[in-house]
Amino acid sequence: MKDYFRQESIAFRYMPLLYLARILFAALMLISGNIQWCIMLLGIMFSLGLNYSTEEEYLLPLTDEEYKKRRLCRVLMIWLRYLILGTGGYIMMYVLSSFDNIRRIISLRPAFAIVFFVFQMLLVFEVLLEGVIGKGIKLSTPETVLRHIHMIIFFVYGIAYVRGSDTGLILTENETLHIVIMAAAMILIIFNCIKMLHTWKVEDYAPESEKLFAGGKKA
Amino acid sequence: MALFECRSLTKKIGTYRLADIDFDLEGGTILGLIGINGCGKTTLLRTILGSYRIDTDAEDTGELILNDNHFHKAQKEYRNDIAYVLQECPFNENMHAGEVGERYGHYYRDFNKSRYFALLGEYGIDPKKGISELSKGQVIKMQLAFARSYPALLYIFDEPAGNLDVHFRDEFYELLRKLVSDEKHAVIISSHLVSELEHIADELLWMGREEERGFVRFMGSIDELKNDYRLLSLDKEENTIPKELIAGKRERASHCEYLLCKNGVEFDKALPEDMVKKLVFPALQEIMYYVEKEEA
Repeated sequence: MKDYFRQESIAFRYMPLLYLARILFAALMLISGNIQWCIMLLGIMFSLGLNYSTEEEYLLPLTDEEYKKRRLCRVLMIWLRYLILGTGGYIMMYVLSSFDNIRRIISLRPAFAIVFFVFQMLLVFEVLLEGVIGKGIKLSTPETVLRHIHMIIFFVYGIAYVRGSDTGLILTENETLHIVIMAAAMILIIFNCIKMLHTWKVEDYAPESEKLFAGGKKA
Repeated sequence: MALFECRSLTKKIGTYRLADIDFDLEGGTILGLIGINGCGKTTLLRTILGSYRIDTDAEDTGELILNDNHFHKAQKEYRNDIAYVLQECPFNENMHAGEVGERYGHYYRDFNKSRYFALLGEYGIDPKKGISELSKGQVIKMQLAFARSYPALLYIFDEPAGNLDVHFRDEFYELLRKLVSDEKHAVIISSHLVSELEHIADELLWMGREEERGFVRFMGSIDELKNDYRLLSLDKEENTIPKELIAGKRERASHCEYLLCKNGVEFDKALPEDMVKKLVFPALQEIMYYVEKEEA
């Protein structure tokens, strides 16, 4: 972690504007209400795109364990950022929802909202792991669609959330059913994350642009 | 003991396989790495550097040893002793030139940050300039500044000279000679500028490609290689050269050029006297051209 902050301080000296962009982005996360998850996904893509892993990281004089720790720290620090901002955003929404002229209020019941937030954060963690240590997200075959079905569930619920609908696209008001579906998806995410971490082996360098969305194509 | 040893290296990338690459490198040597496009030069260099792993689960085999440090046992020490300049910039292009030294130099033993910035200045590179704003030649120079800022034993250059201006290229080759002059360091340099490599390299590793397999065609001194070959120009009607001597042929408008290879027999014993008088030593580039054309 010390190394992560060392790198951040170096980056700040060379690219202070980036930090201004980050502050603006953080503000958006706090006040964006129902579409917070959209901002979050855009932010992940931006973070991963700006800090993509290059061949140099495969050449550094590090042991495999040190290398893995370094990459995991990167995942965790980005994820913590979103967790803190996301939580802050929810608190702000509930506080501001007491004012009548604030339109962006949560229309779904609080229990559901909390489950959705937890689901969201777990999914963010999985996406980060896929981007940094995994083999990429691909929906090209029935098997890979099944493996990433929780992401489809996330988007369905996300759209319902934006619409402020209690039934959304699921066509039922049964909150318990919605929570069960999301809980099942969360279990799948946890399973995928554990599997990725457990089977993670430092592999050959491959250009990042070919990795995340094209599914681990080797250089 | 050799400074660097590559023992029975077999590495598979996709469908292509480097097969049984074996060579030693002594201190004080500049090893030229040549071969046609796609024969595996960059794959070999990346495996030596460690960005490609010898994955025994994938049936890769072999050992890499630098200064008595085996890659798989002492990865950190092994990597600390290697410096590199690569054709494709290994650094994040969103970074600035100065940031590269500050961020990555930290990981290398005895990295001298002041020296890095001084070398950037010497090469005319603004440390506050983004890597994406630099020309290809400047990126090579930036990598060179990084490589020279810590005490490595083995220097690896993957086609560095093609993007350098003629003036700097001369300085660059002079630098290579200085690097190995103390007999404690070695250089591996891959290049398509074979005519230039011929003047700088002490030894040659010539790789070949056969379908999906890369192999070592020749490993040894350049003189040793050239000594086995001769060029002979004859009129098109003359065709009395023993076939077993012909390694390659090129037809010109008025005559034919043949590359002859000894194959264990001295030329003056295998050819008539008038032909022996016409034999000339080929340039390295010519040997490569004829041999690879013949196989294509």
